[in-house]
Amino acid sequence: MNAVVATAAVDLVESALRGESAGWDGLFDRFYPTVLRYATARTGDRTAAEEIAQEVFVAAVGTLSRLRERSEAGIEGWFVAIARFKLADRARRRARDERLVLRPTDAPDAAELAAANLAAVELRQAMEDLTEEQRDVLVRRFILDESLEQVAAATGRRVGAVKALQHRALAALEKRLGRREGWR
Amino acid sequence: MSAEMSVGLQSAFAALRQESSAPPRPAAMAVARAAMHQARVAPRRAGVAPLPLFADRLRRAFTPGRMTAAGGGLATGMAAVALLGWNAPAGSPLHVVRIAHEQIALAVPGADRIGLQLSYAESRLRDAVQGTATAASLDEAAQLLGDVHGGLPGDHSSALWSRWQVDQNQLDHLREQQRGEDGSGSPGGPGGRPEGTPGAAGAGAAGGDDGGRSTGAASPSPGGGDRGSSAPAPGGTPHDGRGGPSPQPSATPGDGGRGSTTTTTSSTTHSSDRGGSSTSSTSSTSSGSKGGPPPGDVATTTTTTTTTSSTSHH
Repeated sequence: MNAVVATAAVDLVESALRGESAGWDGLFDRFYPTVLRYATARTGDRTAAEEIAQEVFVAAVGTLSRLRERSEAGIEGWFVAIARFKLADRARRRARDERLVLRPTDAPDAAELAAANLAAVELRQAMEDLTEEQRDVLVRRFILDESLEQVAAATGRRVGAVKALQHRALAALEKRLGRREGWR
Repeated sequence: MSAEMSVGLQSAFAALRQESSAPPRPAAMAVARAAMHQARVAPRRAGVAPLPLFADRLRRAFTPGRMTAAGGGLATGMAAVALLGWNAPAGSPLHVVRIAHEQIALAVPGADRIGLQLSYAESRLRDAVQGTATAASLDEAAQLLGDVHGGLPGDHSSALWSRWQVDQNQLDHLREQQRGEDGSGSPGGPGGRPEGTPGAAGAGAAGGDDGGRSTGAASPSPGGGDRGSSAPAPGGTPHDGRGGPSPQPSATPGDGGRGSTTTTTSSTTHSSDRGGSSTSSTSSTSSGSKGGPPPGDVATTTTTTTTTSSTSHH
């Protein structure tokens, strides 16, 4: 089954590279949910995540020819990598805007906390203190359910390095969240 | 979930995962899909890597359309300046344009420099007659005529000499007129007749343009006919038409009847340009002597006045 899916993904890429709409539609249908999930986990904002996902597929049009790893996991990792860069761009823009305009902190208000899952919100806030690489590994591993090997292939690291990165990220999260009352 | 996670962290990741796994909204998907296909239609726009901010601004600032518009505006402006300044009178801000195009015309190889400079001087005189920047125009006319004088041919009967003479006379006349209007003149100003030239004593005096007779006045009145030159320079030898002092108290209009004008305050010695022969005479008046030096060999000797100013004769 996996081989069929991988082959299909490669075919979609080939079709898209030939400029066929069907190929692009296939890639979109296949990977848009994943990209959206990744962006939602990182931003916690559905609308922002949809914007990011849209930017990812627009950017993919111009850069698909540079895709080297054409396995299913490789293609997915490539789309997620684009999403990661788009998120970083967005964070930079937001930081610049905040320097220009004094804005209140992004701490969620009471109504938002009541509506959202408190644990998820707290976890995302805690992840903001991690490095970009650590956040990326954690979301890939525990939201997208990618294996260590997949993450390693997508990020260009060795498995051991990914494992160490994940370990340090989780330790930092535990330390930060453990200080909160009633966490454990 | 990883075994190294606490229960609280595991539940937090589970919550985050649940929150993120909501199905995509069809409307958002449709918009994103349309954007992707639009990028495919215009691949260049989507594929161009974002430029740095400054470069992007430059690129926007110097679009071909803007460059074309700027070039057109610049050309139009330059054409307008050239048009307005082509005949701008002396003293006006755009007069430099006139000077520039005149200089360019003079620099053209094979150009008739004397003729051109005379034309320019005449145009200045016309400006002065029309009352446009009179003083400045006259100054420039005088400057041009002075320049021309140095390059006039040796043959005083030539048309250029005649033309120069007419222009010079008109300049003198306008100078006098201007002094009369201003009530204060500055003799010997820039509009002065070039020294050592025939008819230097007065505008409108009898000119020898038409081969007329010259009269060399022997009146011992001091002061040279040439403006502003009265210092004696003893021992001067007439040469090259320079009005060097001559001890002989006579004057000979040995001009051969060409180009000389009557002077009342002085007489000058005309000497040959080339031969260096000079003649002097004690006759107080003379008409064009046929036995004088040949055309071009003209010497006039000052009788009572020693003049130091000199101008070469041709």
